[in-house]
Amino acid sequence: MSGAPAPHTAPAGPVGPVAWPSALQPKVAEALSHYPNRRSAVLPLLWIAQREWGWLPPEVLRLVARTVELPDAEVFGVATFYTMFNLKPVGKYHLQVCMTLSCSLMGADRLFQHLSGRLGIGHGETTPDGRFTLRRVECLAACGGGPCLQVNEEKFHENLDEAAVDRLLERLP
Amino acid sequence: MSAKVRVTINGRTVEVPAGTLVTDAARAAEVHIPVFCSHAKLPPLGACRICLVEIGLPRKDRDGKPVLGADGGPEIAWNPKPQTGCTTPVSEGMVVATDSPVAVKARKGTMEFLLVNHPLDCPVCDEGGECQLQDLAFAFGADFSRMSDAKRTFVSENLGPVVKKEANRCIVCMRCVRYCDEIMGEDALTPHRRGVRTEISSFDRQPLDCEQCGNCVEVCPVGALTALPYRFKARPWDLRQHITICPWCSNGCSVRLGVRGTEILRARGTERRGVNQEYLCVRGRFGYGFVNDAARLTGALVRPPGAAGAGNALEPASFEEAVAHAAARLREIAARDGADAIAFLGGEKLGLEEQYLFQKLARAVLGTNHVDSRTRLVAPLPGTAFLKATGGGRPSISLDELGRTKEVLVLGDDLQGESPFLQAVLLRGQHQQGVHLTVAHPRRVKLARARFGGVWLGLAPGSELALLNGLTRAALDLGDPLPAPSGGPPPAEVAAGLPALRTALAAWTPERAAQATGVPAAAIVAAARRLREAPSRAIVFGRAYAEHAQAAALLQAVENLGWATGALTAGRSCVLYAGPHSGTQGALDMGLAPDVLPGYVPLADAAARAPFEKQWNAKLGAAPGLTAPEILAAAAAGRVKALWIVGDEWVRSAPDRALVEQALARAELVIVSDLFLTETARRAHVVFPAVSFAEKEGVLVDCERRLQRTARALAPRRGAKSDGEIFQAVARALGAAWSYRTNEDVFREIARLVPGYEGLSWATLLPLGPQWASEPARVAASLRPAADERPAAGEGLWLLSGGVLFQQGSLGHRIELLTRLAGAACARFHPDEWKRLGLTAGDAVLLEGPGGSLTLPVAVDESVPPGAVFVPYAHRDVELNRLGSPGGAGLRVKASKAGIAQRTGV
Ligand code: SF4
Ligand code: SF4
Ligand code: SF4
Ligand code: FES
Repeated sequence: MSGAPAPHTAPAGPVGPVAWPSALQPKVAEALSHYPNRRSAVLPLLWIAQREWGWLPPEVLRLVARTVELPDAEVFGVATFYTMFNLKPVGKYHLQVCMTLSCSLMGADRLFQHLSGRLGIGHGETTPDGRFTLRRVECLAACGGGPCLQVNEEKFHENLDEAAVDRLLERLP
Repeated sequence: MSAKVRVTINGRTVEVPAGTLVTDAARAAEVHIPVFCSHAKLPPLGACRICLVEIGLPRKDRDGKPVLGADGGPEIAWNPKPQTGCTTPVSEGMVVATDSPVAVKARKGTMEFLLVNHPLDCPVCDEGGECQLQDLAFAFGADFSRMSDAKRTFVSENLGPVVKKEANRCIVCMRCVRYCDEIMGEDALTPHRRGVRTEISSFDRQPLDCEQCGNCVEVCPVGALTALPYRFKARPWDLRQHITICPWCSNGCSVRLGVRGTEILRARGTERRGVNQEYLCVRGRFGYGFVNDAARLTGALVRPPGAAGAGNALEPASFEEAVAHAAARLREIAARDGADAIAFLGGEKLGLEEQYLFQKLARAVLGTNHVDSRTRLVAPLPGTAFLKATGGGRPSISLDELGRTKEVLVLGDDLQGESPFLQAVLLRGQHQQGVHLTVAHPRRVKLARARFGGVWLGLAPGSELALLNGLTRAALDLGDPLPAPSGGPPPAEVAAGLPALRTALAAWTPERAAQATGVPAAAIVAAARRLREAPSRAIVFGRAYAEHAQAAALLQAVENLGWATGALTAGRSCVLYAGPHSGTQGALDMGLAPDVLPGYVPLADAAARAPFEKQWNAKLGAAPGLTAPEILAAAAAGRVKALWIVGDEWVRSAPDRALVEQALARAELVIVSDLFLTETARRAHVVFPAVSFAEKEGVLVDCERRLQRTARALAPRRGAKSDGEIFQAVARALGAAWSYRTNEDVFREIARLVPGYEGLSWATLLPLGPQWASEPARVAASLRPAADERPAAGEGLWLLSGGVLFQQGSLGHRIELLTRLAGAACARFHPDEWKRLGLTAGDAVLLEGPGGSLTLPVAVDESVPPGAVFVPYAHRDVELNRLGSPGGAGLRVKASKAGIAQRTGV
């Protein structure tokens, strides 16, 4: 029988009640305006929050819950359902290596191992200096250019091999 | 009535209403279809697939006529794939197979998937022996596993003090999540992640911040959620199970006690049984510990005669000695000062039979009419007041119907604390049946939260009467009282009172009511219109009005509103009084009030009194006795010299602490029967050790006037006696020829004698007793202006109080889990008030009332209105009556910062 529950270590992030920064408020209002009821805006608001805070600490999830008038637990469930919401802090560069079929056939596993060895971190881990987080992900919809890797939210890098990722890492500011 | 259809399941044909689900039809056909995710109180979901069956429908030709097969019967077109029985409604001619190769294969396949990751925990799992998965694995599971990969595992978690989570055992049926959402309105549980990694837990895996009801544990079909208080306590087959009624409130939930030896090890709900079925609140489910408390009284105590004080302590005595002493002293006082010097108080926690005997002892044996169970009353109230406000005994709405009533007005009580099951009924109704809630309460209590879609009438404290008058006037503006559902006109008394009421209410325009209550005029008018015009309506009130200084006027106003909105009609009552205790209604029914005999028979009516005099072989006094607040005053003044207080911590429950102390000090004889040496018992001259709810059988009447049988789960604690035995022993010692062998004997007498109870017997009360009703009504209705001229008393903050979920009376103080959950008792202030008083966290506040003061830690609470302070009622650490008795429209107190918090009280 396992004993005490796993200790919950709260990583650095907002603690205590948070509010939407005033600069974001128009965005929040805009997202809410798209739907007939507030609860439907939960995903857009989670995205807005993640862009602002980099990840979704508990207090930010509570903020979203308050805003869309859903129970806290339900918003937590939604945020954990989708793998692209970060429930732990991520590094400055979030390296997401596609592991789905085409990329896999083209050597995604080798690529991942290489990155993992070079950065000294495994799946879902962050380098101690907070620069990189490494993660395996499912299809990035760039099958023609496999193996591919996504950095943060937008940047795609295709047809990679070890040398190409090394160059990529060095280029990152 | 919906049309019936015929379905054939495994060759058995049954007729069921159209729309019945296949799983329910199978139950009617006595065919077993296993289910996990489906639950009687939740809409169909189809998550677990264990109920897969093969379904066929009669083949139809082009003209829609059934095609006949070779045997002349209809030819069946079998659906090529198995279907989930729990989501499929039956239709005419449907044929269902649970034993065909397709169905058997489907079920085996589902079982295999369910067991892929399931651990072999049965030997150490609390659910073992009553686990649906275990049973089905036994019935349908394969005897080997084709899986060789490691099972996915989760970490076990304690989600607070009640819920233990072993997610490895979870089959993701979603019952817990949905129950907590749709019935508890808490939404405390949620699935984390998805697919095979789905794990039910709380927000951020934090301890559950919820009602701690344990219903998620109850509905979990496996051992994924178990109750920490019961963890590793017993194997279910070692428990004797007894179904009885919960002692903690007036809602009358069935509770199944699991007993091993002489100890209660758990309490559970029961599927398809009672008003509540599986539901129990935290008190009902975890509040049985006092029964086995080592501090229970195990023998009588007697204070030797002589001056009170040092060296004159209560001393152990045999039961017989205590009886003889009590009888001798009662006889002596009656002989010297007359029977009017004796008063009987309490009884709201007794069973019906004991309540009957208590007043019979007072009236027939001793000859006093000073009998009152309503020890918390602030002002005198006729014994018929509650029945009259709830329709005089006309057939009452049931809790089940309440959950389908379109418009429900909740007055004055926070149901979360006072009537948890009623709250659950309303929340489920709101979620599933389109119930609309209107909550009139100075605080924004749980039911009034925005997410339950209702309307909150946040009236100013002390303006209850104004709101009721405003609502009634607005309802009468829409027309005269409504006819009964059967078409009958309102009773003559109602019609007769109407003109005067209209005249009196002319002044109560919506604007004036708005000004008095702070509720917008439009909201008052709209609420009245909703009530009156909804297809069905009900009004619920409780202790807050009963214990109000203006109770008499408020109850009349509730009745007025009932008739004005149609909640009361000639044939039916949809007004519920949910009183504070399990025996509140029974006590009223059994005449534990100074002016009525059992069945609300007025003492003053000689003809109605006669059958009682004959049965009891006694001459009964026609003059009403004193009500509880009057007894309190008379005893404090030395006019009432002997008091018998049964199962009531009067020292804390009487409205004025100083007065009750004085009364108890002054009385020559105080007899107390209780489970523990309570504060009241400490001041007594004779203490009888009583048995708990689990050690006796009898009848309780719940808030819908339903009679329910209670069962004895345990032998009485050694030395303790049931209250019935105590009353009978004293009655006999006083010369009465009582010879009841059991409570059933007493019930027979009740059924013979008490109007409204005619013809009932214990046997007719199982499994679910009837709601007693009386046509014509036991008590005549009236429409009458409800006014209370007493001025709003004093200055300062309004004191708001009320029951809280985790503490309910002095027995609750003995349940470690409940006191832990209740935490510190705080005086709660609105942020504005908080600022005004210059409070900071960790401060204490001094509250000063007309009768004394209290010092309490403070907390901020946005649900408390400005200008008021909320202090929980019946919390171990608060003796609210030290502030004195409310006068006028309520109690006002002076609040001032009092330095650093320190625990006060007991
Ligand atoms: S204990 Fe009750 S309120 Fe709490 S999570 Fe379980 S079902 Fe919900
Ligand atoms: S914890 Fe129990 S009730 Fe909840 S989803 Fe899992 S198996 Fe079902
Ligand atoms: S709601 Fe009332 S009767 Fe039901 S379990 Fe709770 S305290 Fe007992
Ligand atoms: S019981 Fe039918 S799908 Fe779960």
